[in-house]
Amino acid sequence: MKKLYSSLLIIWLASAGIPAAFADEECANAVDAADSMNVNQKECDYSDQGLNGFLQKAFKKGEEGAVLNTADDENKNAANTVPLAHNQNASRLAGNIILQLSAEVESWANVALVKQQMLPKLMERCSKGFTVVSESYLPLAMGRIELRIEYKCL
Amino acid sequence: MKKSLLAFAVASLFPIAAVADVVVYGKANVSIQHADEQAAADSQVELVSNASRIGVKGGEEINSSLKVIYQFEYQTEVDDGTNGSQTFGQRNIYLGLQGTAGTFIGGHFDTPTKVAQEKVDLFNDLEGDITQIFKGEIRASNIVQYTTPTFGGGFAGSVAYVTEENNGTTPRTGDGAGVSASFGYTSPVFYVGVAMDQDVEAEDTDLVRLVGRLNVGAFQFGLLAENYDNGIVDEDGALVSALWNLTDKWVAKAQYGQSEVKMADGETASIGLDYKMTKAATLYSYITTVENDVIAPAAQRDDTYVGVGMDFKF
Repeated sequence: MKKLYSSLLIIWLASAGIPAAFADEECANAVDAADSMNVNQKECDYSDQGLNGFLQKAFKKGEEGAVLNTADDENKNAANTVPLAHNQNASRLAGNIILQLSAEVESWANVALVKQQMLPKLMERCSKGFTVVSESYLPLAMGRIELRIEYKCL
Repeated sequence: MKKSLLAFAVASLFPIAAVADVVVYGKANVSIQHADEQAAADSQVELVSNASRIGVKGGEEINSSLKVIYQFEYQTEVDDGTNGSQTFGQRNIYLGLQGTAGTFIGGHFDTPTKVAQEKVDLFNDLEGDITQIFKGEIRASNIVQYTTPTFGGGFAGSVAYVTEENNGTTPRTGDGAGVSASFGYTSPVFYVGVAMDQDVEAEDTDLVRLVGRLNVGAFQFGLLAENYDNGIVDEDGALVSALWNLTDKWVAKAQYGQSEVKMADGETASIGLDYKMTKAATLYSYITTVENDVIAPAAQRDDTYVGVGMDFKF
């Protein structure tokens, strides 16, 4: 068995020189990510995937695809949107409210990529187009960054 | 069930305001197989649920450098509807704290040695699962674990303490506590890990496991070697696996293992062909054999399984 372990060690040391340039950084399915029990894996946004995506959508009252109305929906919307000063009823005047989409970014190097992925989502939510009102960058744990985009549907 | 009813049912389990911080996930994995087992008088066709599950995981930041994390995952039997007397069986469940210095979790979950197998077992949860011929595949109760942050581009290690408390779904014999630890380097291209268990399965049992994976183009190669010593037997085993992405939809895979760890001359061989319908849905097929040279007739195995199934991740 010692020979086997020695051979394995040599193989792995030899493979250490293989570049990771063609690495696949795509997020795994949520179930696979959980199954790995890897607490260090990068955080992925599952808010638009599978049952989780449906639940996220279902509780956004006033938005396209919302199917449930609960007492807490108003509070949730209030937290996620910033009404303009003269528009207090955000759900009735959807065209005049500033909406918000945020995502966690692993490092500064990935900010541009994440932003590229967020913009198509805004277009999905605003079928006639949108205007980016502001971009904010907030510090998170372990060097991660929260990219927050405030936007308005046309 | 209508989607809105399903959403309401799931949502009722959690505070509405917390939904945004929770990832709800799961999968249904069901296969129909022809099982020709030596211990059975006749071969039979079986519908099998392969570790179908549903779970929630998430976290909440306490401050910029500390976060509470949790995971609750339950197995459900799609074929029978029950797991013994339970509708749901507990899988990996923990509560913990994650900070810049690492992560502490406690609960009922896979030991670092089990997790160290990574993606090498290509027939995980099926009849060709490495648990057929290897030990160390333990989901321990009453376990606390520390995991280092990733450093050096991909290095990380975990050490777990399996407490002396002897209850839960993985009862331990003996009075002492156990320790499980692993250390490895992970990258999308390759992975190498070493893991050990001491007194985890039972008192005076030691287990060492070496694992490696290498991805080259459309291929993935895996290797696992294990030594198990309980003071009476001191045995070894090894397994190799290979996966070939024929196209972006079709995947061929094969796996062979030989081990004395769990049974005399234990041997398992599997081949399979997968078709990825979507990122979440996969049709798969497999042929698996499990053999040994155990003397006791009741424990002898010369089994063959041929099956097709579907895996849907939601």
